Amino acid sequence: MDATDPPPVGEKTMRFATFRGDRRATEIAGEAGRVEVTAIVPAFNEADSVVETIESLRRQTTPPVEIIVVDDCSEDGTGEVAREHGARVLRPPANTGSKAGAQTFALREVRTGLVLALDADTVLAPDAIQLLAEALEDPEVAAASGFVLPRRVRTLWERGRYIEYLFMFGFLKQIQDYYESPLISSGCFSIYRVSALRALGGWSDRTMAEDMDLTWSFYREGSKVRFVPDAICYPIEPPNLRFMRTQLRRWSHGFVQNVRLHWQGIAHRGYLRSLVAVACWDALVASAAFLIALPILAFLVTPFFLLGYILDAPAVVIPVALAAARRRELMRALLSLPCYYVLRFLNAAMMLKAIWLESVMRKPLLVYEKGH
Amino acid sequence: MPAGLPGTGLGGVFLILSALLMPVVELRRRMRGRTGLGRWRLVGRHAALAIGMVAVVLGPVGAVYTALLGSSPAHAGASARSAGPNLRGGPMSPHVAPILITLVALVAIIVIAYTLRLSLLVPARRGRQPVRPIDAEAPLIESRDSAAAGEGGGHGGDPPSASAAPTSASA
Repeated sequence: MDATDPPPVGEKTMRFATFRGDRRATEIAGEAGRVEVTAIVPAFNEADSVVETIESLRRQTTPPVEIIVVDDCSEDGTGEVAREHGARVLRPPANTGSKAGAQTFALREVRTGLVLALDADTVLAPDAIQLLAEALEDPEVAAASGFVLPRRVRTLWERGRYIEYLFMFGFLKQIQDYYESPLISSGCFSIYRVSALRALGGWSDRTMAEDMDLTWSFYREGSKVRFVPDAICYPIEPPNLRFMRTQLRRWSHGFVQNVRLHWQGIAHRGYLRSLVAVACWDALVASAAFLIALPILAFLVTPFFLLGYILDAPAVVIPVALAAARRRELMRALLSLPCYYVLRFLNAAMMLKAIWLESVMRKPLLVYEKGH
Repeated sequence: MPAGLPGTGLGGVFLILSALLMPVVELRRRMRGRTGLGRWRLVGRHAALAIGMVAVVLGPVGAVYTALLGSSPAHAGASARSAGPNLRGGPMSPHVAPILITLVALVAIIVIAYTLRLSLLVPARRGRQPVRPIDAEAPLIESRDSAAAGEGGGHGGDPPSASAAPTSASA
C-alpha cells in the first residue's frame, strides 16, 4: 500500500467521525470524516530498525495517511531503506543537530490535523494511534502519549528500565493524568494537534528534553495533555552503560533546563507546580542521600542505613507486579527488580551531576547526543 | 518524576497521597457533574493500590527506624535506661516519626512552591517569550525530488541549529 492511500475504514475508525461542532475538534478529521494522522519519524543511522517502525505504522487500526521519515543526514542508508518501504523521506541540507530539529523540519509538510511523533526504533501496538487520537477528541487536548515498554529486556540496563517503566506508566503517570498533569508527553511516541504545535513553533531544541519543553509549553498556553495507558509502544532502550549514560545525561540536563525555563509558566497549575517542586527536591536531595548521605551514615553510624536503598522496595513491587501480571510477565518483572536499583544509582549520579553542571558551574549541555 | 527518579523519596509519597485522595476528588467532581461513574473503577484501583503500598512499607520503615535508633550510641543509652518503652509506647512510635518527618517535608515544599508562585506571578507574565509559528507554506528540500531532479535550496526560515558532528534522532 502506498503511503498516501487512505486508511481502511473500520467500525472503530468511523467512531472518530462524530465530533462536536468545535473548530478544534473537527480539524482533526479529514474530508471523509475520518481521523487523519501524519507520522513523523526522525532518524539518524536507523537503517536496522526503521523498517519495523514503518511496518508497525502500516498495521495500525488507524494507519497514518502519510509516513514522513526525516533522514537526518544518515550514513547507513536509512533514507533509502525507508523509501523502499513506502515512506516519504525528507533529508535536511545538513544534520539538524537534534531530534527536535528533525521533527520541526518535517512539520511544515504536514497537511493533517494530527501529527504523530515516533522514534525510528519504536514499534506500536496495533491500536496505539487510534487510542491516542481518541484523547484528542477533546478540543482542549493538545497532546497525548502512551505506555512505553522496552522492546528488549535482556541486559541489566534494559531490565532496570523495564521495571522503571512498569512503575512509572503503570501507576505514577496514571495518577498524574487523573489530576490532568502528566509530567511529560513522551517524545518517543506522542500525538499532537498540529495547530497547537505550530502555534508554539514546533519542537524546540533550546533544551535537551524537547518533549518536556513542549509539554510544559502546552500547559503554559492553557492546553491539556493526556496519558493513555492502553496505547502501547515498544522502543529499544539503551542496552549498555555507555548508551544509558548518554541518554540519562540528556534527560537529566533537560529536566534542569526545563525547570529553569518554565517554572514561572507552569506556576499557575497547582498540581503540576507541586509535582515539579517535589521532583526538584527528589532530584537534589534524594540523589544526594543515595550517593553521599547513606554511605557516610552507614560507615559512621550503623550499616542499617544501607537499608535506605531498598526501603521502598515493597511499594515498588506491588504496582510493578500488577502491571506485569496483566501482561503475563510476572516472572520477568520479579527477576528484573534488582536491576532497577542498580539503574536508580546511575540515575541519581547523573541527576546530581547535571544539577551541579547546569546550576553551579553554569556549563549547560548544548550538544544533543543520541542515546543508542 | 523526572528522568530516572520514579518513586524515589518524596515524589513517591506525593503520588501515593495523590492516589489516596482520588476518591475525595472524584466525589467532588461527581457532585459538580464533571465526571461519570466509569471513572470510579480507575479511582478505586489506584486508591486500593496506594493503601496496599502504604501498608507494606510501614512495616519495613518502622523496623529500620527501630534498628537505627537502637544502634545509635546516644539513643542506646536512653533505651537502656528506659528498657525500650520509648520506642514502642512512647509519644513517638517507630512508625509515626518517619511518616511525620516525611509529611512535614512534603508540605513545606508544596507551600514554598505556592509562595514562589505568588511572588512571581507578575514577572511570569512579563517574561513570556514570543514564539515563532511555523510557516506551513515555506519551501523545503525533499531528498526524493532532489535526487530525481537535481533541485536544491534551503528549507525556508531560520536554519535549524547544526552541531559539528552529526548527532540526533530517536532517543
